[in-house]
Amino acid sequence: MEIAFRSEHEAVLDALAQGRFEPWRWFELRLRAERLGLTQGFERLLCLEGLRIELYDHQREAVLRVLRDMRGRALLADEVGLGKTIEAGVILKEYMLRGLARKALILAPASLLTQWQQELAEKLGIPARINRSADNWHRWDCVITSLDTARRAPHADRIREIPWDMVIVDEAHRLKNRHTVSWRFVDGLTKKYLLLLTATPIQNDLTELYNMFTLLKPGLLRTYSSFKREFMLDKRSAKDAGRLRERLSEVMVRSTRRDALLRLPRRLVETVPVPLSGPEEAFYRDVVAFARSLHQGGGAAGERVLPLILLLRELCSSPHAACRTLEVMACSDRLEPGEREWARTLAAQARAIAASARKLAAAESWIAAQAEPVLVFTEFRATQAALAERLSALGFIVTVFHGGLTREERSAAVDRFRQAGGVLISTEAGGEGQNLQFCRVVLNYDLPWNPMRVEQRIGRVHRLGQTRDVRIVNLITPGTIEEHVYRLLHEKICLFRQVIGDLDLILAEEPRLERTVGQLVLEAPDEEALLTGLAAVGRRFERARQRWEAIQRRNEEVLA
Amino acid sequence: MTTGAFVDKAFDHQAAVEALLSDYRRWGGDDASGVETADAVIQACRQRGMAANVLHPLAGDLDFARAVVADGVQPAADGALRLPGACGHPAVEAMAEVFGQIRFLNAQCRELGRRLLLQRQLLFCFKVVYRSDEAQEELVSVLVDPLTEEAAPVPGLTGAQDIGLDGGAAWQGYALKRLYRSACGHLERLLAARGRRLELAAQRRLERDMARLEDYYQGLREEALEPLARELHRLEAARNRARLWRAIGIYGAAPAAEPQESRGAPSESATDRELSALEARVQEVLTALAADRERRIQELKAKYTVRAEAALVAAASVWTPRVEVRVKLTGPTRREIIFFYDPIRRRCLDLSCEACQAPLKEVHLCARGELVCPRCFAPCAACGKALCVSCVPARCHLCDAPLCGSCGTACPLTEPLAVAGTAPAAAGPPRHVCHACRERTCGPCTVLAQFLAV
Repeated sequence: MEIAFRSEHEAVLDALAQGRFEPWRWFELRLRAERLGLTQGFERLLCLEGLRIELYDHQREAVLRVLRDMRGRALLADEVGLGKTIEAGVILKEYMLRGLARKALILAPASLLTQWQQELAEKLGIPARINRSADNWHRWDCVITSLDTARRAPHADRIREIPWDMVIVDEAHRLKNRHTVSWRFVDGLTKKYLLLLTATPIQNDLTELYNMFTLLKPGLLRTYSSFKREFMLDKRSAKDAGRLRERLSEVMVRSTRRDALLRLPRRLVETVPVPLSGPEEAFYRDVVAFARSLHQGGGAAGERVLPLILLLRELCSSPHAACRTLEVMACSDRLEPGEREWARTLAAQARAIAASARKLAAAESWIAAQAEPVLVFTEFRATQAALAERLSALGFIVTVFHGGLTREERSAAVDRFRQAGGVLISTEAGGEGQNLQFCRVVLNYDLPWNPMRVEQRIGRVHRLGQTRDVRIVNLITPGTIEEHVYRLLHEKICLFRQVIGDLDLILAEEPRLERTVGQLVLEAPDEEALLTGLAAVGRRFERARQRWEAIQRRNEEVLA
Repeated sequence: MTTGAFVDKAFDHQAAVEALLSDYRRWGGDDASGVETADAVIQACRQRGMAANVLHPLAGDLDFARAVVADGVQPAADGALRLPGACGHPAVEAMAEVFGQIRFLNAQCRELGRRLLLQRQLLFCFKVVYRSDEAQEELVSVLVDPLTEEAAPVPGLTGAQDIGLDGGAAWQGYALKRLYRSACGHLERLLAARGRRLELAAQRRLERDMARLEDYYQGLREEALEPLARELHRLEAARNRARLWRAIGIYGAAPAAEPQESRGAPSESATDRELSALEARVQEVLTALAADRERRIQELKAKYTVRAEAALVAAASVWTPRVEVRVKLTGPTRREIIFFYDPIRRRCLDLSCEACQAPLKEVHLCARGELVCPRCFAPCAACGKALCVSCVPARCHLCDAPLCGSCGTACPLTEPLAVAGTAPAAAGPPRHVCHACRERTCGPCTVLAQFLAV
């Protein structure tokens, strides 16, 4: 056995050499403390004491099973919303605290990289870095990246050179096919511990299950031919499901809501239509026409798409938000003088109608009618400021929360809201990482065009720990893009009514809805063409949603 | 002894943390108000008590001191050192047991006195982490004697008392490092033995995983070979058909038309080429499988290899008791000896064979006053004079029995022999023979010597 002596003895020897003695009771206390800090296998979770995070029973059991029985190679297949990410994070942290893991690689979908980074940092104190550069793989201990980036040159070779202590693959159903580059890439990594996270290990057939388990523990299901002989009746049905489940349980942890005795409260969706006033409607039409004109005007149209989409989103939020962008455009060298003048006129128009915006008034009267704290979400700081000003002037207790606050200011804002109630007006920064289960009313002042963001907003209050039904109120302006987006999210994805979970599976068809909608608006010659385009997007979502439900059922049949 | 068993399921960690925090606060730990979580408590306690200067609990034990210095101790008739009647004190009982094992076999022993002394030793407390696919930690304390540089695991020092915190008893850097190295050396031996259990457990897990892996790769190899076997069958059949067709062509009448089944059958050389290509492909697959298997095996081995890491977390200067025993021995000669008893390690110091350094229990006093063990005691085979291996002047060259100077008889063949008319034969080194051997074997030699002389 290799024995190494750490170099920290110098301080102790120095104390002896200089006669810096302390009373025996402190010496004894120190040894008692050291003894209490000793790690004894995986009998208890060390990180819980240091980080003050609380795990649900099913999470604690899952973590201990992975550490103790599965020796760090496991498929975390909890149902959606049961906290697989935190389980994986705790497992990583436990290995790190015990000195068993240092280099960790987290492969997640690109849309979840930041979320992973935040969860690891804020909840577990793991300083993980999102890496897109080829040079940093060796540099950082805990690296987050997307599977798509990692498997590509020049990253793949660099990553393969490193002996990883822990590899975590989120949304691991992407590794369902062993003939793909992704599967081969993960299989080829040198790794001590491997965690695969997915709520739906079976997407189509049992072969996918075999491929994922072979990645975790080659030989567990023997060769593919043996697996087929032993366990496959046909592609989708298991022959000896009981024995298969028993075999799978060696490396799979799967909790369902029923097992975990967790039932999330209902989501009660309300829509408050806020018709535009005459001047507002005129402003809306003018801005859409302006955007279309810029987009269709050729030249640098491609470059203008994103700012124009931003302008359209701001337009749906408030004249205050749109006004800022219009003012910037009015001074932009990239616009023709005529376009700049148009922007200037529109900005003046926005300023003129800002004070009398109907949405502000609707929000104000709706909030006034509530007897409990309200969490208001808006995408834009300008809208947030206008709403905060208006409500404060009317005597509401208003707290604002946005990405510009420091960590201390953020927690002070949340504490204030918790204690004083009133209204918390939050931008998207408040949609991530904050748990606000003490509140159950969410008012979407405007709607993000990205379904993930909507889900994150709702997820702040509709999550484990929430005991009351959650009210989700959407202020929708009829006849605008906002209404179209709302219909897509509400009617096609059923986003507001229930937890969808694997949203990215549904959104795989339309990963950048924001851009798709924006382009449809900018490129549609008339309203009818726009509606036709949106209907096509809706149908794609519907199909994806049905597919997702079928997958859920399939997993339930084999794994439950 | 190790403090901190590997797994103690009955141990109430929460209660222990609370007790620790309570003591921390009672003794006025800094920032006690901010200490809430177990980790914070442990961290706070680690800030203090890195080194201490204490009196070993036994050194301050008056009952032990009284029992140790009690008068009237005399050796028993069998030569054993006896302490006064049992007093019930475990350390005294232990000392009595050790003393009881010491027997002076050829000398009368009279105790001249006993003193209790204090001697400073160094206690090193190490935190040891064993890592394989899991981690186990323990605290190991090692006490090092600066005189002998011997290290020994020690039980806890509950009840130790502070002695001088003013720094008057600082340690010299060089000595300190030597003692630390000695503690490390001892720890290494200790951990090698203790880690064995973990190594065996990891080995079992490794073997289980390896067996699974071997089975898997065996299956894959067989599956890889399957197409080759199938293809071989097919090609073999095709080759046979081709041969048959040629045979018919040579020996029989040439058929009007090529039979249906041999049409399209490859020629022998084409078959061989196809076969070689297939073999190469299979070989490629097998090589890839072997490399893959090797990689996974290395991965498993790395995962299950047990490594230990030790860190010194605290050290104490411990004043330990030591019993000085002065006795007078009267036997083949007279000698006064002083030896020490170490009540911590429960063994005598400075009481070792002066010939071979082995610890002494059965003691012989040789005529030159040396204390030797039974193996090194070598009384004269002829007269029984007390000799030891260091002082025996001669040995019988036939039976190797020790001989004192006066009992040794020269071997007639090694004495210078003078033959008439010749120069005396060159004498070899003097050789001695004991009486018994001389009577038994020297007669013929003497005759031979005389014959040679004539």
